Amino acid sequence: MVSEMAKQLASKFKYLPETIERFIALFGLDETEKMLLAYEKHPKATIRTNTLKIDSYALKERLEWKGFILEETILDSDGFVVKKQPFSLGSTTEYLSGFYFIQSQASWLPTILLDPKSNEIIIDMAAAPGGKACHIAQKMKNKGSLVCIDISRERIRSLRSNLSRCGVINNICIRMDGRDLNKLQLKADKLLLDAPCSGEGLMAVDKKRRLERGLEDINRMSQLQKELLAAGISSLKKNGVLVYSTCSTAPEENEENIDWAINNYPIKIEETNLLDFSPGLVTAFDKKYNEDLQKAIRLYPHKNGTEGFFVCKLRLLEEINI
Amino acid sequence: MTIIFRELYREEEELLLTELNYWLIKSNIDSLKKQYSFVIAEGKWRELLISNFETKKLLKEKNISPYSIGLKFCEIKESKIELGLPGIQIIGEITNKKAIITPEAEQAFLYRNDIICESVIEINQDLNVNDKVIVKNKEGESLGIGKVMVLSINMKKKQFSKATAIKNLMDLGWYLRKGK
Repeated sequence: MVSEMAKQLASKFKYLPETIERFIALFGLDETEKMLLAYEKHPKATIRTNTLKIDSYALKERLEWKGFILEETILDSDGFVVKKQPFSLGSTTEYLSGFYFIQSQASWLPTILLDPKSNEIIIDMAAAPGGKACHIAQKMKNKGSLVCIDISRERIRSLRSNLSRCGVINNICIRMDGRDLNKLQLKADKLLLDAPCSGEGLMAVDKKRRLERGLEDINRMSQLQKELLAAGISSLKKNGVLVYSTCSTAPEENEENIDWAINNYPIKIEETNLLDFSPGLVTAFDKKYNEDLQKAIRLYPHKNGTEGFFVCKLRLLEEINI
Repeated sequence: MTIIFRELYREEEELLLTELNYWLIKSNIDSLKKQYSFVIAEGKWRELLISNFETKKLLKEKNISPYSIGLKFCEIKESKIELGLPGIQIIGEITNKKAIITPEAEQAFLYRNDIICESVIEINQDLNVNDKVIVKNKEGESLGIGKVMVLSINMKKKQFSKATAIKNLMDLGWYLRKGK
């Protein structure tokens, strides 16, 4: 049963009434209204320096000479908020030379939490179009090995193109269903699962989703995400780190999956030591999740100026036999 | 189509060496070979890829069938080598066979256009007509590869100012046109 208030807000902001009802149940009316207003604005454009090719100081100087105005961010010293762009960020010589990646600030977080090191084997389970993969490679200083998985023929081409532009040499790209990851018989030091999701956190960027994606999509994605998580966990070495993220604020795609994984695998949630973000939920609707989910991070457009986002860092305590 | 990843055949090694000899001096070739590991990817196309040694070892040990590995250094078409964009960037860092062009020509070149003589700021004097050349901007970035159309000594002559100096063979704008 959808409330009158939910119907009114849905009509005003052009969402499915059921979506608004869920937001109110999760965040309360006041927060929901603030979030809906924030979703009306496009998030600020941000870029991340590709330190495999240039340092952030030199990039800033180059782009500002061309009329761009860049502002440092506290999240990552290699990233900038673009305050003014005289022409498209995607057509500069610097972009084509792979000096930067156009990527939202929220998307920097999974790699920051993964904390890649040079000598490691790292798997990026849903890698296309490659923003996070390039970020991982630069943190690895192009050493070790980065295994990039994606199922889509079209998207893996774009992944390869971005890896090429950014000069990522330590990559192996494999076109396969991430759920079959075990078939590779590979045990990684670290694994990123930026899971395919309903994109509920992208309402500002893709307004069509407001009326096209509902609970059915969320539940379908949640099932797929659990299967991917299971495959990812099984492909880690003992003490390996898995970072799970989505651009969705739906607990079914986030906390519920992590809670399910904790109950089925020898894993624990790690502290992120990142301040200024909202904690993961420990209750949602009529469900209660593991208390450690407070260590997960949630980002909201009205609080962080980003898309809606979830990220959680997990550690495998015992290797899984495959 | 299945892509097979394998070591270079002898004739491919010779072909690669001939190409590298065109662009680089011996010490640069030696350091390139020490820095990168080479792999052939053969499917519909035959590509020569460069990787790091750890990743190539992982590929062999795990018997993985990937879509690609590392970066495309070049494509081998019959007995000719066509440098890929990463190959152009790597070679461009260390070769003397380069031309530096004006900022105005830089934008035009990135849109697949050729370069006229008056847009060439500097070019290696040893280059002959039909020789390949790495095209760079004033900041030293490799923008692509071209074919010399006018002898370098004639490029500054007034009668050649609007003539095509370098024909565009491949440029970074590919990432916008086809790489998305």
